[in-house]
Amino acid sequence: MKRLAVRFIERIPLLLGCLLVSILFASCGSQEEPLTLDLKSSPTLATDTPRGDGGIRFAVAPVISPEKGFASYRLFTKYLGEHLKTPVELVQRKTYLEVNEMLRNGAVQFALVCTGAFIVGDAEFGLDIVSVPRYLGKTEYYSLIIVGKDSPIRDITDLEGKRIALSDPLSNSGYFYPMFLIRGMGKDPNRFFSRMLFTYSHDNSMRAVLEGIADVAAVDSLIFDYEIARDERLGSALRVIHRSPPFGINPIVASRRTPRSLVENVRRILLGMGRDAEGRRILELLRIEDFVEPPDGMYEATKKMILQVRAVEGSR
Amino acid sequence: MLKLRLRLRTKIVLGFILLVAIQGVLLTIVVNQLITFELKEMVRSKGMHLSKSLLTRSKDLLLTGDIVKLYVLLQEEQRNTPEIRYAFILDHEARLIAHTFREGLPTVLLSVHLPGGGSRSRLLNVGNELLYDLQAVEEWGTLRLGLSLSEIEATALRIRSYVMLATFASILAVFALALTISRPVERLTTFVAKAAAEGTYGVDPEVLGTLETSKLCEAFGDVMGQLRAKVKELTVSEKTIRHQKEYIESLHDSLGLGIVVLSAKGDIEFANRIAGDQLEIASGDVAKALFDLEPLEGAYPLPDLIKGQEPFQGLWRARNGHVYEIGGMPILNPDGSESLLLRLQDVSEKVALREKLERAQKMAYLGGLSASVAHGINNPLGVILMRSEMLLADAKREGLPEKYIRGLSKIKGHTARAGQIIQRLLLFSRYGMGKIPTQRQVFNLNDVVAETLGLLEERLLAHNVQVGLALEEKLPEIQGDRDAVQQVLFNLVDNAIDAMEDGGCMSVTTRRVPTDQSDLVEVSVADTGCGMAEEVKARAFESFFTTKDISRGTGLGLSISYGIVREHGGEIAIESRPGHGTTVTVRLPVGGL
Repeated sequence: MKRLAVRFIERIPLLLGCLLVSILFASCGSQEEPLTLDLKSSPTLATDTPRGDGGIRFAVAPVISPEKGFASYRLFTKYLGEHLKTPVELVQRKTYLEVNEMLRNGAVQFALVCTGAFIVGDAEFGLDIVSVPRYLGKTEYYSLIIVGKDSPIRDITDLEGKRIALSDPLSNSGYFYPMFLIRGMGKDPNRFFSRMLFTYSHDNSMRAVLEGIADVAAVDSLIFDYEIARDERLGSALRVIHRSPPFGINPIVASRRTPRSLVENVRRILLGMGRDAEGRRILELLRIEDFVEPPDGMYEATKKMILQVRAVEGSR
Repeated sequence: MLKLRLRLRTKIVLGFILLVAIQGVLLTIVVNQLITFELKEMVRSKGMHLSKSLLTRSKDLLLTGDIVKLYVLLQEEQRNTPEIRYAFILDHEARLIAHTFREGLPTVLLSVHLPGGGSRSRLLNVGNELLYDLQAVEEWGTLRLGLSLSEIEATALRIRSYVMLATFASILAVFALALTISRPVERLTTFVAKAAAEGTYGVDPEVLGTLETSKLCEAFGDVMGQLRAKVKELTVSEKTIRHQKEYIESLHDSLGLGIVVLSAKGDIEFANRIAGDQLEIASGDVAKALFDLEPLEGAYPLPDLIKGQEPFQGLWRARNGHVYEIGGMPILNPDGSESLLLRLQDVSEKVALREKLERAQKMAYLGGLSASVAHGINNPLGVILMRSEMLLADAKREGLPEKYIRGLSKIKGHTARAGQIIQRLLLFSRYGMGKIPTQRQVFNLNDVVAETLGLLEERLLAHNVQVGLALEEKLPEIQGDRDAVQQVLFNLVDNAIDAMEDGGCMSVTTRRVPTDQSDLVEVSVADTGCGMAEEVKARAFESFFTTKDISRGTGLGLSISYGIVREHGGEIAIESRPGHGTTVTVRLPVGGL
């Protein structure tokens, strides 16, 4: 034992040496070597130049949030570009009004717009319907008044004094219809609701109810169905207390500044999407069966309702 | 290798300072490296979180094309976080959308990360500082953030300075501590050195410093005193043991016996000087010498007896011819093991004497037998010889047929040969057993040589032997039995002729050999015959020993010659090698008997 201790003491310098080397290796080994860059002499870039006139811009109104819009319509615009043999840029804006403005001045050639925005835009500066999507065999949808699952609100008579989430001032299902409904009850929506919150997308309106920011929301039935199918939690957390009569579905429109030949081309491509595999795959992702010509007079009732609401609001 | 001779105090002080300095350097390196590493990791982690958060906040602005708000967001973030050196956003097609550079984005930054990668970081050296370039990637776009590490560098420098300051303070403290420790130790060392050199074990008050040192000195003094007493005791014991050992060894030597003690395995445990002397070897080889001894007179090989560990006694012969009487006796050691005690005594002379006596007795018996046989046969042989000569003469005279004459001639010849044998037996009975010569004459050896060669001339010619003579002219005369000496020469020449069956050369030399006491006369007979082997040469003088056919040799010639020469006070020697001939030399004193 003693001999072992002496041997250990004799080897202390050796052990210290080993420890020193190990520590140095350990401390040096993990150092990252920096990449040397000369920023001063590097060429600079202000910003990327926007696309030239040859490009086609396709706007998607914020029916859903920009993130979901991007995820859903990126492949759609890519498909269009491939068939048109020219790049198609996906453009999103926060409000329907901004999209309508772009359609008005030709900043975008095509857009998927809300029924409300289409009716207002068509009335103000003229829009051409390229085609309409068909969903579950129909080209119609509804405005749904939804509340939280545990909410004491049973029907629309209980809405008074509540906070309502609205999607956009030009939205049919998310604005015009609930305004029409309240006014039909002889109430002024601005007084009827304790607060009107614009969320600028139907999924955001659903989230506002879910998070307790709003007590009630008016949403597009197609978006509601899509979101519930995507997230079952939403279905069990939200409850529909009112369903509107059917409205003409959100159309794809062309600016009046878009060349007619291009409009026809796009219409042909959209109507034929269901005939090729890639087109079918994209339609499936968008939960659309196919694109069809709009049936005659499909927007008449809606147009009447919206213009009525706007007339009342304009007179105030 | 250079070895510095330093004072103990210097060694202690330097050692302490060196240890602390090494510790300080190590600590500085490790702390610096670890802190730098940890802080960098922290910045990197924070930066990654920040870049992801910023990208998320940019999402709607980027997707809805709100560039102005995007610029505002990036600039606000840079204002709120001073470490941010730059930030920029690319859309999903890697187009630059917004950035914080006043004069445009340096394009080298675009190639910092490999395209297609996810969120990651990269350390950059942009000339005046180190940056972490952090990249957050989502499907819709990419955000890049440059975070400065200057603050980390400054922190690491501060910590390094603190550690080095602490090390310096530790060195000062250790210096003082080392001095405090080394002074008493040096004092103690001086005391011990002095005590060891002068043999004084008392405590010198001058070296007593601290309480601990004085206690150590006292303890050391006690130990040294006890050590000295023990050394004295040991010295006395060693002397006693040495005297006892010498006494026992002298006892052994006085016995005149070789004493060897062997372990059960056959290893030598003890061998006294006489054993080594007797075996004519160094004591270390005693065992080998013992095991090489050849057993005599029915004794067993020694290795077998040693293994047996039983008492024994017998005779053994060494390679040098010495004969030893060895007795073995098992002894019990104090530890219970058994050893074998061997007693050795060189009995070579005693054995030789005994053998000589036995040989003399044998020869006396043989001489008596030879004399009685010779006398008994000699007379009838004389009659046969005489009657055969007479019959032969008659036969020749009367003209009997040749076959009778030839038969009678053979009878006469063989009878004469038998007569010669009888004469030799008579000579043997006279000289072979050491009898004193009866006749005394003064004669010259050269004459005897000439006469003998004359007698054997016919045989020499018949065997085609050339004879060379070298006889010293003034050879002194000698006194003795002339016939006997002639018989010696006759035997030597006769043997030489027999050795050269196909002819050869024989030389006979006589000369005077002066010596200190009395001169000698030497005669040597050399032949070019077949020579003889060593074992034949060793037995050449034995009676009845012969290498010739039974019809030609009796084995008595050299034996008789030996007897005659020895009885004349002379000596006879043989020098021979197989194939190189033989030389027999006889030396006789001038004065004779």
